[in-house]
Parts: sequence; structure tokens; C-alpha cells
Amino acid sequence: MSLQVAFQWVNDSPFSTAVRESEYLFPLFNAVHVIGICTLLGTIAVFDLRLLGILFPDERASTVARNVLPVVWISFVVAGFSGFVLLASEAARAYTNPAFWWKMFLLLIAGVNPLIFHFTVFRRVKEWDSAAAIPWNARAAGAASLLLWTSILIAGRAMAYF
Amino acid sequence: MTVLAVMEWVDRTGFGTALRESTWAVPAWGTIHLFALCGMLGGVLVLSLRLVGWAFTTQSSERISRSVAPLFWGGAGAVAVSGLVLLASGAVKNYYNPAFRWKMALLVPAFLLSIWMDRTARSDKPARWSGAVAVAMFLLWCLVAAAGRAIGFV
Repeated sequence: MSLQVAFQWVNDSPFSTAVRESEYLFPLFNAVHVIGICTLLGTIAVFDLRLLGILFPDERASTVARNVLPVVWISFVVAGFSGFVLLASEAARAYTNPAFWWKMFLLLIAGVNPLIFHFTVFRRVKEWDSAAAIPWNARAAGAASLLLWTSILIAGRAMAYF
Repeated sequence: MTVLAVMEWVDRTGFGTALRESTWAVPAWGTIHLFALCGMLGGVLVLSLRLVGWAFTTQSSERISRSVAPLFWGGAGAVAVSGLVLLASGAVKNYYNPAFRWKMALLVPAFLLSIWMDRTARSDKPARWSGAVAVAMFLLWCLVAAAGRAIGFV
């Protein structure tokens, strides 16, 4: 079974059809997706801006991480779940939409970025926790994350125009 | 001069016409609007969580309020500017859009509660019910966002 056939199968399922054809379900999941994205990007930005030394300069990086990252994860689940419902409801359209594939590609990189960060520079966070001198690779991770999530937002918005 | 007359005038201006006739202006400003909203809501959410007692409990609410202020006000300013541009891209159309009217109506209490929440967070002794107000305010902002999304659907 090719990927396109799989997308078409999801698209034609009763669940997808119900969401697509409902007057309220698609806008509802769309609104939930937007709210999830806002809290996701908003809280990720708080941590990224701390890594860049712009926001929360008086708090330790590990304190900001401990307090903000749980909200990032909850938001990620909300945005992800609603995103899957929206995707299922228009899977056939998404398959041929270049903005959708850009979004997926960027999401993949946005997932790898914190993995690298977490297992490398964040392991030694105690050394730069409250220091004014944040290591260059922590700054780079913060800048990359901000740039990636902004690009994902643009790609997601662009999906509506293809 | 009525609000409708102002909207009709906005639609007639060169700025309004240029926005309507451009292919990329509305998508671009819409993306900026959403991006700015993310920043603003991120700031609101972190301060709300502090007042509810779910985050930064070892820091004073005053300290958290000061820390998120640049994100909140920067986001709110950009939301307002991009929002006005989007409004101007179809002023009369928006004026008659019920979702737009709901959004404007919900925006007022959401914004006022945000200001109140920030003030109480910065006072010596934050009001005991500030956590409940924070939850209500955050839900109001979610409704504002949902109404905003609905503008394109109705």
C-alpha cells in the first residue's frame, strides 16, 4: 500500500468524513489547535529566550526549564491531538499540499533539536545555570528552536492557501 | 459619526484597498497576528500558573510578573497592530461578522482582567482569589482566540 493510498483511506474513513462534513467539528478542532499552538510556542519561547539571555535573566535556566517545560509538553499533546484530527479530516488534500510536507519536515528537525540539546549542553546546566555567560551551543539551540517553530507556524498557516 | 461610517471610510482608503487587492498581505499579516498571539498568551499563561500556584512557586509573583512583562506587552502590541491591519483588510465585512463582534466583546474583559492580574501580582499581598481570576482570564483569552479563528468560518 503506497503512502498516498493510506492517506486516501484515512481521508475516506467515517471519522474523517464526519469531521470534514460537520458544520462545527472542523472549526472546533481548528480553534483547539490554534490555542494549543499559542501556549506551545509561547512557553517554548519563554525557555528559548532564557537560553538567549533575554527573558528571565534572574532565574536559573534549570528553574525555568522545570517550571515551563511541563506546560510545553501538555500544549504539545493538545496541538498534536487536534492536529491529527484536522489532518485525518483532509488527508487527501494534505498529501498533495507542499506546505504540509514542509511543516512535517520542520517538525522533525524541531524534535531533534531539543534531543541534541538535552543530551549534550543541558547535561552540564549546573555549570551555566545562573551565569551571565551562557555557552554558545545553548544560545544556538534557543535561536534554532525559535526559528524552527516560527517556520512551522508559517508553514501551517500556508497550508490553507495551497 | 457611526462605527459603520468609519469602517466604510477605512474600506475606501488606499491602505484598505491595497490590502484587499494584495494576494500575500492578508496571509502574511494573519501569520504575524498568530505569532504575536503566541508570545502574548505565553506570558499570560506563565503568570497565571504562578498565581494558581502550579509554577515558579519559590519565586514571588511580583518577580514573575516583571519577567514576563516584555513578552506580554511586546506580544500585545504586535497583536494589536496586526489585528488593526487585518480589520482594515475588510472593515465593513468584519463589522457585520458575528464572530468578529464576539471577539471584540470578549477582548475587553480578557484584557481588563489581565491588567488586574498583573497589578495584583505586583502588590505586596496578591488577592486570595487571584488564582481563580487567572483561570477565568486564561479561558477568556482562549475564547477570544476561538472567536478569532471563527471569523474565517462564518
